[in-house]
Amino acid sequence: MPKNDLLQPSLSASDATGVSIYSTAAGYIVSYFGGPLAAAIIALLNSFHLGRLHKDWPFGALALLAVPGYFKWLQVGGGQRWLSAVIGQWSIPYVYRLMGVLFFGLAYLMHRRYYRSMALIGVPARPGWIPGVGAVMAGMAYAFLVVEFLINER
Amino acid sequence: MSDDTHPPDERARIQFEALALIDRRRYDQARVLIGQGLKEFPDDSEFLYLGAFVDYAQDHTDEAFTATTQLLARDPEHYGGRRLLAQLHEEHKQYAEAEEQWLGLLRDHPEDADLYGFYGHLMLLTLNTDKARKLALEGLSQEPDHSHCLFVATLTDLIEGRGSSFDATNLQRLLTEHPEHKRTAVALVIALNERGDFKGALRVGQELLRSQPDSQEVLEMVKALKRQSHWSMLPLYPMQRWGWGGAAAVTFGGLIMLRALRANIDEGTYVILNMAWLGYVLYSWIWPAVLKKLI
Repeated sequence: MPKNDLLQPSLSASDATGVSIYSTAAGYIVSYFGGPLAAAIIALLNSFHLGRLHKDWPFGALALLAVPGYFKWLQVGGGQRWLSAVIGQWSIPYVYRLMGVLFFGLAYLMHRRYYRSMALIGVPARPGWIPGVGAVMAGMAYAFLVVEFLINER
Repeated sequence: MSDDTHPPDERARIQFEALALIDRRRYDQARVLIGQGLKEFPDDSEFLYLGAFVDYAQDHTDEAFTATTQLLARDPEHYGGRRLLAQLHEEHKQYAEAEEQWLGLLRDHPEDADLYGFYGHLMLLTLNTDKARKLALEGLSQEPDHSHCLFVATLTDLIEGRGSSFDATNLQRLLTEHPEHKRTAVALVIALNERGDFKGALRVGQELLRSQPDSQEVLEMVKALKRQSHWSMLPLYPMQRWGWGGAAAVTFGGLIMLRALRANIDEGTYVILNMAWLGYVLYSWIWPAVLKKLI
């Protein structure tokens, strides 16, 4: 960055009182219970607060595609049989949770610098209860709709 | 500015003494002297500035804000007043206004490393890490051992994950050049924490608190470090050390272990182990919040 660019303002009126995102704990718990779409909703809300939604939106599209992809593999592509044989029937709901957590892992990598800045400098996280509950409900509803109308219809 | 009723060096003497008292953090005594200076030299901007600074140092930010605004109305180019106004904006979380002040100051004083340090710190607070680092490096190019710029550069090293080893250049320079500085101790605490040396971080934090017993910020930091290294947090070490990755490993590792054990143990033991695991998960969620209330 040339010196002149260093002397250009970086803070807009919208983040005049500070920028912060939802905590890693909020992201992790929401992703565990709500799956990939919930992870993406929280991640994209963070992107919005960081002013980088234009860069990060494909992550939401990836989550929207990953959920039907997973259920299709599970119920049509033989995934259920494979999981039952290799790990056990019990693992099926947890694999979906694991997928949510993996999506959170991707979101963490995308926003790693911001998460670490907040942790090291002590910037308080945004209160995440309401968006967290909303994201979990949206994630569950989407998974339900996918299974009901895309998978079971067939 | 001369004043016939006072000896010519009276103003300088009062200012010198007030500054010496401020340097020793004897703010109440400094305030009395500054009050005397203001009474005798009501047109002197410097006394107004020193008064505002003492208010700021004693956390009377509203009074400091009023005095600084008054000072800048009288003398809009006053360097100290503009710096103080930027710091006060930051204190009130008016970050865009603070940025405007720092930028104005930097345009007028492009070789002032202090300003790069302060503006870089503001960029850190607002999660603009890249810019913070570049500002710190620019400041260091003006003044190679500047403590605030080294501090900001060290923090950006740590954020990028390249600074927790003690041969990391910026941290090492901070430790060598400014071993007595509060910022050095804070950077060291953060670096020790990053390495998982929670007890070491607590020891450095406690030393800092001994030297600055009146600092609320340091007190809060030591409390957080104390919570972190409390014996009851030992079972939560994976979460403390590796954050959400540790939590995920514990959650899924626990599930897999329980399932693997199921075939080899009786139902009663399996239920007990399940309950113990659930208890551990609940403990990891609830106990840190309880401990925060206790310490």
